Amino acid sequence: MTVTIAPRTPRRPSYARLVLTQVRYQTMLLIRSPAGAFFALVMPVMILAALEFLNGQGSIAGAGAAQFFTAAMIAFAVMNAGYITTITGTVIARDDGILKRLHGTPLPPSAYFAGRIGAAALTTALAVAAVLLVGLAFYRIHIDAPLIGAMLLTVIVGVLCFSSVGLAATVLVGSTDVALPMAYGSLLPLCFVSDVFLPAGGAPAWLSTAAAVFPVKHLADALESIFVATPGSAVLSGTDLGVMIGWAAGALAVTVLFFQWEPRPAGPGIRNRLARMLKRLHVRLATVIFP
Amino acid sequence: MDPLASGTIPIAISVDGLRKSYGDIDALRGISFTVPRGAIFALLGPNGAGKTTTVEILEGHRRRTAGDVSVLGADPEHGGRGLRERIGIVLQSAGFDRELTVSEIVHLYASFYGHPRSSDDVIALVGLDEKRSARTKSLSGGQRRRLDLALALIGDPDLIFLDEPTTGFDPNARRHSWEAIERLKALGKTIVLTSHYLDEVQRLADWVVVIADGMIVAEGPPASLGGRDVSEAEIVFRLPEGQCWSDLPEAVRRTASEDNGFVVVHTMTPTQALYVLTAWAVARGTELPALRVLRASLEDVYLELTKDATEQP
Repeated sequence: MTVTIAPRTPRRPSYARLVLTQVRYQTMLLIRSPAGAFFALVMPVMILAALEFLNGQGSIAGAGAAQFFTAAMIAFAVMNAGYITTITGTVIARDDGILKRLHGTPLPPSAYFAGRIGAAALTTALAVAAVLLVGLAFYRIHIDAPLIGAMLLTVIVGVLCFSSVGLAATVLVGSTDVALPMAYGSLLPLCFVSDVFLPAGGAPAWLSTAAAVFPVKHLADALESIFVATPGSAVLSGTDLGVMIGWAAGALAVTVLFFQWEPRPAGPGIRNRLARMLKRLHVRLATVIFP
Repeated sequence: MDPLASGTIPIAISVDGLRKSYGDIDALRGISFTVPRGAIFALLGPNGAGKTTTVEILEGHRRRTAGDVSVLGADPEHGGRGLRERIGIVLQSAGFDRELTVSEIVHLYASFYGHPRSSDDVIALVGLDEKRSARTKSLSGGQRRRLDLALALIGDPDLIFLDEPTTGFDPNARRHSWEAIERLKALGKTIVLTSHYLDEVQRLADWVVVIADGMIVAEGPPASLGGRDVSEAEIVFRLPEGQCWSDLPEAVRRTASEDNGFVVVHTMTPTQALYVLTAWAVARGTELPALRVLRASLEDVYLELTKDATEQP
């Protein structure tokens, strides 16, 4: 009994084309969905306007408050478009069975992940442009031309970091219902202890030390150093970028190892999920060590 | 058993001793079958029998506990992109990106393949022409199912899995789907179908495997499943006016009974019995009112085969 059937000629779409198509469609989906567009594009501009309205006359860290708030809202835009929309969009796609269907096609998983990150980057670019435009038009912010490159680099590293962490975080999110609460529930406290919305102040030292482990503080500090630059101080610390790149690398590793393509049956809590992850890690390691 | 065993017909799928356990529960308890290329192969069984588990193992969505499985010459657990380029899958339930239109989503899926079919042709084939600019969130249940089929066909697969493709359809939509499936067969595609509609299986399938409680309880062409083509037939009629039971021919009377005013003759040789009966009636210059010959329906056979299986949600 023979079961061999000649393979087709292996003409395949190029990897770059697969990723670009994913980026295009994922961006389209995000912008068309009312929630996605609101969180990614509208919210940072809205909060910028509110903060300006309430505190616009003061000065923060030796510069106009608008400078500080613009840096803060660029950081917030990166985190919203990178982290929040990646988590919610991916979990909805998983729970609706869209990811399961995709997983049965020849689309390589890495092209899907790259598409998600690329779409987050594109959306972030739009959101950052919106924040800058509003800042320039209404609040007379300024940015030194030589620092534009540093800002772009920070935003790119930031969105790579936060969208990767968003992909990895979906592993812990049980269902669409809890996606948004878990996403903001993890992000907002970190924003406050990381001095994103207000300059470093009376927080206890241990809290600042703890916050420095996470990427939120490093994104905010990097952008603040660009917009509220004091003469002679360094712009862009290697530590800020390094921590974000480290988180991105770790998150991508978690994504590759544990990402789930199928809707999850209701039930197991985080502890069970972690136990299952450990079991899977054990199996993966065993297949690597004893191929 | 069938011409497959001789090795003259190319095989699309072969399954040998397939088992699947979820914890302590055995969903599949050692099933074996082969699917020849170009055939429509149906898995029939009650809910929870193991149909979806079986097709999802064949599709590569699920890992098996034991057994050998070959799909288009590859192990689906390790077939990777090469295998997925050659199969098309209609899952029992799977969603769409709500904010994309029919045309956009079909083009998106076409972009995954080196040799996709034309998106316009596929949209026309499944009858969604008029909905091509509609967002998927506005489609009806039947239209969504047709879009499922379009996405399974866009890569021009050799092998197509259809997991309950017409559940929830109205009779008209089911007919249209059946015709679409028959056109695929005419193109030489192999089709694996799960269903719990007996008329669907009867109409489409070349070979049926009945699964109950994780085991195969019967298999064969739908017409002869469970031996119903050679099983006992019933001849049913009313006694003609003026005739009584004792007037019937002796050969008929021996195997007949009376049921609610009808005479029911049980026979393994309905042709001979009919010959005797009709000759008797013609000789008396009378008709046999309400004359019918009944065979066990596929439904009778199916219910008999699966009656012990536990119904699971």
